[in-house]
Amino acid sequence: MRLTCPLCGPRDRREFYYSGSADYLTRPATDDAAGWDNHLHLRDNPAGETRDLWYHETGCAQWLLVTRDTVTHVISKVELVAK
Amino acid sequence: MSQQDTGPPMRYSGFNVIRQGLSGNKGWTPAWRDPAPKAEYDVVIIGGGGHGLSTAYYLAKNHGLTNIAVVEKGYLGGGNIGRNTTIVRANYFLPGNSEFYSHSLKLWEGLEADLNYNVMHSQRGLINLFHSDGQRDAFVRRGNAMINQGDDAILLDREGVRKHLPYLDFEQTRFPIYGGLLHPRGGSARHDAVAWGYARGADQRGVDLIQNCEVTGIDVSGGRVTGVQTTRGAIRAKKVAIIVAGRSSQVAAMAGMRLPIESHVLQAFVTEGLKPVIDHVVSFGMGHFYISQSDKGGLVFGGDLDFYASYAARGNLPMVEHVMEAGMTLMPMIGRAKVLRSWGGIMDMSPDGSPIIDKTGIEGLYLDCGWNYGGFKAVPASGWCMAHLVATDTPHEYAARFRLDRFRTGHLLDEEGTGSQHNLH
Amino acid sequence: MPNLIAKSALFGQAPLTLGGVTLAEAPLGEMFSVAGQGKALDKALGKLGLVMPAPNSCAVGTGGVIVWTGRDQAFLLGDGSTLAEVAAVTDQSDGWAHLTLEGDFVAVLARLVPVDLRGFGVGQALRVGLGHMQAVIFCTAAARADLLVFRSMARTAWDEIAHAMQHLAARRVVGL
Ligand SMILES: Cc1cc2nc3c(=O)[nH]c(=O)nc-3n(C[C@H](O)[C@H](O)[C@H](O)COP(=O)(O)OP(=O)(O)OC[C@H]3O[C@@H](n4cnc5c(N)ncnc54)[C@H](O)[C@@H]3O)c2cc1C
Ligand SMILES: [Zn+2]
Repeated sequence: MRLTCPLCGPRDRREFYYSGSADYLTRPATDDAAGWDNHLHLRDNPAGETRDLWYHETGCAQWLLVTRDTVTHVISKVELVAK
Repeated sequence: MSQQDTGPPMRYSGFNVIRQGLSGNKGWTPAWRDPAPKAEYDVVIIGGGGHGLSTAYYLAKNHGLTNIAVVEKGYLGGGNIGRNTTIVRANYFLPGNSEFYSHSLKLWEGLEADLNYNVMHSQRGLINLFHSDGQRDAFVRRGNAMINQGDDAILLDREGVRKHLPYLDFEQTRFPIYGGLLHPRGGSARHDAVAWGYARGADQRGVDLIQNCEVTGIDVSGGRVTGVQTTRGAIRAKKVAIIVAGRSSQVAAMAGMRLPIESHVLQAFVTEGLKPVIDHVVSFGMGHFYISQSDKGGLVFGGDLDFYASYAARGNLPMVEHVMEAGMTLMPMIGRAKVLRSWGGIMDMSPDGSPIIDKTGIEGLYLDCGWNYGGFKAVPASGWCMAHLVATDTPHEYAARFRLDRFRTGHLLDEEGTGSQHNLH
Repeated sequence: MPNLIAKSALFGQAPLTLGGVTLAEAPLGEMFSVAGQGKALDKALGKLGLVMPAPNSCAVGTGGVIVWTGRDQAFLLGDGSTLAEVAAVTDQSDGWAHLTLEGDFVAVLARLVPVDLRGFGVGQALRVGLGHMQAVIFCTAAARADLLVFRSMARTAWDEIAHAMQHLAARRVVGL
């Protein structure tokens, strides 16, 4: 598996740290237990296209928002979270 | 074919092996029937993996419920139950986990007699190595927790480890071997035989095992489950149990539920057959690597998850490299063995690494999932406790903390202390 | 404060030449991380004959060598103290080890770096894994690669590169 970092270019999977679903980018809508449960624990966990967060650990040290397929492992988009 | 066609279920015994051997092995009957789905059951179990089959077995055996169907989209034993590295142990630490896995190990110890099936359960001893003073302290603590639970744990120093595992690299200085925690009753079993044994036992008690039948919908009416839609037609049911491991999120979504589960791929490897060389199950404490030798002689080993959400039953090379590096660091002797196969399985990872055996917000709908990469050893106790829950609508005392809402209420069971993230357990 | 003796990470390590490639520790110099953007920074860098480098590039100016290391971030191998007013500047001189590989470095690094370095040449820079380490690799002269690794990893980096060189040299001996 290779991800194309918007800054560093195409790189091997081993340079990246996977953090989890892009749900982590959206603060909970409500500040109660249900909101936080939704934010931290509950997941769509799709078999197919998903969006998740990867960190370019041995590269530019940027957080990346990756659109990819969990069944085929095809990576379709990699964006900088910081933009 | 129904039970009546084949006569009473066949018992397996030494006598029968000899008798069949002398008569050309023509008298063996199929281990289970292949029934068509009926229109209605008391309980429909979705998923014919280890946990689904053991749940069906104990529903019949312990609770006298036999109007049950296990609905499996593929074939029995084709999921994780036939893909794991077969480690069976009761070395958990936290209240909630300890008693559950302790119960499971006791069930394992009586399983072959109970099922009249050889699952090749082998209590060859598990040794978890440690490589620093801090790790030793942690293992002493774990060992004490195991002993308090009534299970067995023996602390080995370096020389003690050397006696059991002389082939380890005791010279390497980067990760020196300080000692190990020996769990003599830990070991392994033959994975698919466990599925087959439970399947046969359930079938003999009247449970319908329906293969090549994918559940495509869950019918709910007025807050109550009423049945399932399948590729072989609709089936009505008073109760439905979702026991589908890596596919839990998809099946739960059919009932409008969003679960605290992320699916991840875990790889495993097996070498060509070798003469007996590794007598125990051994795990490395400084990199994720564990190994045992199968009865066929292959070295069976594995390591960490690939770490990214995945439904592909295959992994990527960096984890292959990591596992091989860790193995070579610990026991360079395996470097000459040729790896025959590697494969992956889809793990239902929960945020705290512990499972869920609970009711859902829908009446009559039950959930058993979140087995992470440790659900093989749990197959007996999970079936036992899930059957209790489905039959009585109350959680079994050994599974009382495996609640679905524990994440919301903050009652996490984080055995490894790695925090609330699905891939870190 | 007594005068302390500055020691490089591999102090006393002699260069190693194998198979036509030479691995050496570069002399300990000044190194600053410069993070920022904007006209004031551009102007201050201009006085050093430098600009903020584009991703994956490096350049040599009168004030030193500047190497891209991240989004709006670069390492200045030279005196960065004059930039302190216009960028986030930290002196990291004692945090890194600086190695050089002269000769056919591509074949050596191919064994350690998961990036295709064929075509890697003057003016280019990478942040990349070297074995299990994080590294910065840049090129300011033909047939030569400069490597920066964390100082605590210097010995490991040296060992792993030396190993790769040995393997390549050995293959040459047997005609591979
Ligand atoms: C490589 C690897 C190594 C492992 N090592 C160990 C170990 O050493 N020790 C240990 O304790 N555990 C281990 N595990 C974990 C263990 O295998 C699993 O936790 C456990 O098998 C999961 O439960 P199961 O057996 O019920 O799952 P499965 O066998 O996967 O059963 C789920 C079933 O549900 C079916 N299903 C899914 N969707 C539908 C649908 N819509 N309709 C009908 N059926 C459906 C699937 O086809 C499947 O057969 C390992 C796992 C892997 C992959
Ligand atoms: Zn990058």
